[in-house]
Amino acid sequence: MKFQIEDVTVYFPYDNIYPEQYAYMLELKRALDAKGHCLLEMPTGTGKTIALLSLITSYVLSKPHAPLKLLYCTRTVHEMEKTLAELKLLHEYQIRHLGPAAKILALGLSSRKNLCVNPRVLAAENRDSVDAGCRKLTASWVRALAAENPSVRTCEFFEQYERAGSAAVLPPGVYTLQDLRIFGKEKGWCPYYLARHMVQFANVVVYSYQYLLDPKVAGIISKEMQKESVVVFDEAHNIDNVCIEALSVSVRRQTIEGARRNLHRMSQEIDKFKATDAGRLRAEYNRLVEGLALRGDLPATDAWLANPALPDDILKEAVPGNIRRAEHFLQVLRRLVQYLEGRLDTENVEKEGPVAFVTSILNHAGIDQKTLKFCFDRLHSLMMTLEITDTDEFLHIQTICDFATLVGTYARGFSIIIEPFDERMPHIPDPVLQLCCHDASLAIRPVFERFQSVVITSGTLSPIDLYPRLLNFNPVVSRSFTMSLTRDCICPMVLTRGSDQLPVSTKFDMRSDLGVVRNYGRLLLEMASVVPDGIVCFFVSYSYMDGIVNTWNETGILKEIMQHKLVFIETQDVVETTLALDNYRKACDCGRGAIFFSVARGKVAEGIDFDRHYGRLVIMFGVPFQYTLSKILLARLEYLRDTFQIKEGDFLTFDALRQAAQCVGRVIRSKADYGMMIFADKRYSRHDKRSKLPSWILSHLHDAHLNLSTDMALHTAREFLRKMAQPYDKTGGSTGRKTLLSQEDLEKMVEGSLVDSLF
Amino acid sequence: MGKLECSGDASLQNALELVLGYLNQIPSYGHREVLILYSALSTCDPGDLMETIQKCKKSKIRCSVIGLAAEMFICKHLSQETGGTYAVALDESHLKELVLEHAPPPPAIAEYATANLIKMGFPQRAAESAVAICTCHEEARIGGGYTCPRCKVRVCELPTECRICGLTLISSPHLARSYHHLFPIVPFDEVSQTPQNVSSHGFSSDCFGCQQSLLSQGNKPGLSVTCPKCKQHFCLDCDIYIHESLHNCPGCESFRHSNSTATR
Repeated sequence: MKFQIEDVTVYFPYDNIYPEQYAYMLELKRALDAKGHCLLEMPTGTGKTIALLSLITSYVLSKPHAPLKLLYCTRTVHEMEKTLAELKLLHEYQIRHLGPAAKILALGLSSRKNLCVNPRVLAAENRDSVDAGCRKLTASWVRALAAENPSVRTCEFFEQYERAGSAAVLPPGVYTLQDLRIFGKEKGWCPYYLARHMVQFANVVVYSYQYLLDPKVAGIISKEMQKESVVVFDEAHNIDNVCIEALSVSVRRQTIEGARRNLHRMSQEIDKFKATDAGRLRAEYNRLVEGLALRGDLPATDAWLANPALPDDILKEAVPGNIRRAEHFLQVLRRLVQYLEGRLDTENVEKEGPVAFVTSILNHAGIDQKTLKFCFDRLHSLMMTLEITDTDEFLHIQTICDFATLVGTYARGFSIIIEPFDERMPHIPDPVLQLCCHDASLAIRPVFERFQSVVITSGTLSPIDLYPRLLNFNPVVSRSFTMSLTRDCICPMVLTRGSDQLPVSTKFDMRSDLGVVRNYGRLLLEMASVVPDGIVCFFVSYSYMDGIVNTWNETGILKEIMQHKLVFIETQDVVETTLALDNYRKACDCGRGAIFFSVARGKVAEGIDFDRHYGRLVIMFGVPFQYTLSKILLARLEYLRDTFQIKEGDFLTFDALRQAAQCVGRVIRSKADYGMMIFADKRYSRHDKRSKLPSWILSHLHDAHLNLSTDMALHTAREFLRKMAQPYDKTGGSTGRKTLLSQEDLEKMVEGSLVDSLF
Repeated sequence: MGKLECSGDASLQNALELVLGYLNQIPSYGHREVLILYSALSTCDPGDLMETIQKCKKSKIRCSVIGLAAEMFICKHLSQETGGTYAVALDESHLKELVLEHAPPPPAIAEYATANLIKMGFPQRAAESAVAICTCHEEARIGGGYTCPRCKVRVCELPTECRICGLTLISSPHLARSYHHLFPIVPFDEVSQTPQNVSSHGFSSDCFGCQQSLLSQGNKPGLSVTCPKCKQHFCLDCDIYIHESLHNCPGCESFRHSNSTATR
């Protein structure tokens, strides 16, 4: 359908639209007009993706004199594929209505592992080996050698792509990763480099968060993106954690040993070069003297990592004299590695700020701050000069140099924490030195400053006013939407006690209490006998899940549960978990019924949907707080308290509840779906915890469903399931309040300007 | 029935396999239906239930399920694949309603009801004084039964299959009644009450069924319906009577050379 929002004609590829999709598009348009950033929270299963894509592409079409580029960021490759599929549908619809003027180029970009079509390279096992394999065939010196010596192997796809030159373009259309691979195979061109090149000219680019937030990757891919762009971060409730991880480095004993090996190898290479081709090392030295740290315009295949510091913070100066010669640089690195090894040998936990750490490096190893800052650039230049292609072997020394550069560049917002062993296993020595970033706004600052509009959207962004403080930006629009439903298809319940009226919780002091474990077991048993098809259970951590399942097994509750439904469990191994999920779905399909045990911060909670009969009930056992004794977390909380005046308790609760909301949101994917959610912990009945749940859950949480015991929850569940099994009218026309609007309904609504009164 | 006990887990596949065994013996022109009352929330099957469902679909067995606890995906899938219905009862009276909804037979589906010549017998009622050994009870009975036209044995009730010669015995009212359910009469269309209808279209002012005036007080046309085939007008009372009791449209029947050859 086609409709007007103020001055923009929106092309929407479906015949019906939900009122909240319309309201979402209205707010989004206002943010785009204001050329500012916005935060929008809309519940899962309401068609957020298509609303975003449809409005932004229609906005661009309606203003042809000011073309905007859309950079859509997703968290996983699977989400990328889903988004591109929706975009394809939308694109076909727009072409049908507007003709060929509406053609755009849209593509997805991912790592070489997902885009390479060279069978030899693709056979490597992990992402780093695939990257190294590609470099072995495409590095500029390898290609130069191959020009003279035909027996040197190169990648035929890349060679043909280079030969095609400016004719190597993608015709307009929407390309998923699969489409790119097929196109590449057909033409004999390398899909990865083609995509990287075409990203500059495309109208819509879909890639993962790292390509914009992690400076090491963003420096290569997103450096040239134009300012007139709209950036969308989808499923962005954990964006502050992503920003923090992008700027954090950790160094272990293996890293130190590996770095030593790398240094040894590099010095051997240098000796070899001195004997055969001393001219090259001399050329590098001259270049550094003249003040060019990097080799300027590098061919695309040679730029594999950019500086880990943010672009504005990289010093644009000449490399200091004491590391210009290759041997001197290696000596500096050796001293640094020695110093770090010495620090790792400590017996107590130590915490320092970056400035103190840099001073102590100066005192003990004689390396000053400026030298540290240049470590990364110098290493990169040296590796290019020595023509090292198997970069996956050299990851350790790269980590050390990342560490050095970050420690030298930033004075605030970081801490160095050295732990001799993991708190939970005090007998096993496992020293680790961590450079922890505490300030989430650092990594995302360049994105906010550079691009015209940034949209942060998710289903669980509560409380919404915390995000502008954490990420340090000012949104022009910040709204939270609720779902319009014909019938109450969600039934959240807060369960605080067992049938014996004893309170249940996963609070640390109550965890091993046998009464609590028994009550949780009985809750699951009763629910398994009342709820058909699939049930999903989330626990607060792997260790807690192990403990409680063991106890259930010993007391025989697990056996009784298994008589009603089959039980599957998530482990830390990806292959096992995938197998378990597969079998879980099979069991639900054939009527046997199944229960899935999962962990609140695991892979399953982040990405897997349990819609329709795969998830009729989700039980959140406890409140998923982070491990509160972790030193990193404590350091971060202290920083938040000092800088942003956010109380520790508030932040921990906010983090726990956003995780809980994300877990329970897995069961509803569309409005025809229905499911129950049980929050099983006495702490949920407190107002400060409950109020942090997103509004679309809170609006269905009636007072009668608070503070339930197991038998009351059972009764509520039975009634709810019976009611939901009755047939119902999807559009809600009969009850008066329409939830699925057709074109005429929409026009009438706009005329009557009912929109504001609805939300 | 009192001796039947159950134990163990419910199994949909075993039930369907049993049903398949029985219903496969019914000739293809007959309706094959099964109604499952299911209160369990899972099914514990010895093999692949999806295969059994496909077998039912191929044998044209219409499976309907009435659930007593909650909605199960497999029951919904079963009823959707085979063309049946699935409902969950809210309470006792709702359960009674749902079960009774299955009493009238469903309309025949055109592809399934291929035309066939079927041999049937229409037995005469025996005289009151005739004595014969009836085949169903295997004892002597006096009067009040039917005689099979082919082998002349006595049967007590109709419709039935003759035990001796295998002929399907039926009486004509039974056949007529089943025809009403298998090929139901189409719903009539409402007629708009604009006055121009009165002058054009040859609007008659009387109901074709009961000959009463269709105009309400003051010569304004009242509510009426019309049969889409014969285009005759009927009042609302006749409409209810035709659809619920008569199962035949008087307008269509009264046309001697009717163009509405088949309501199929």
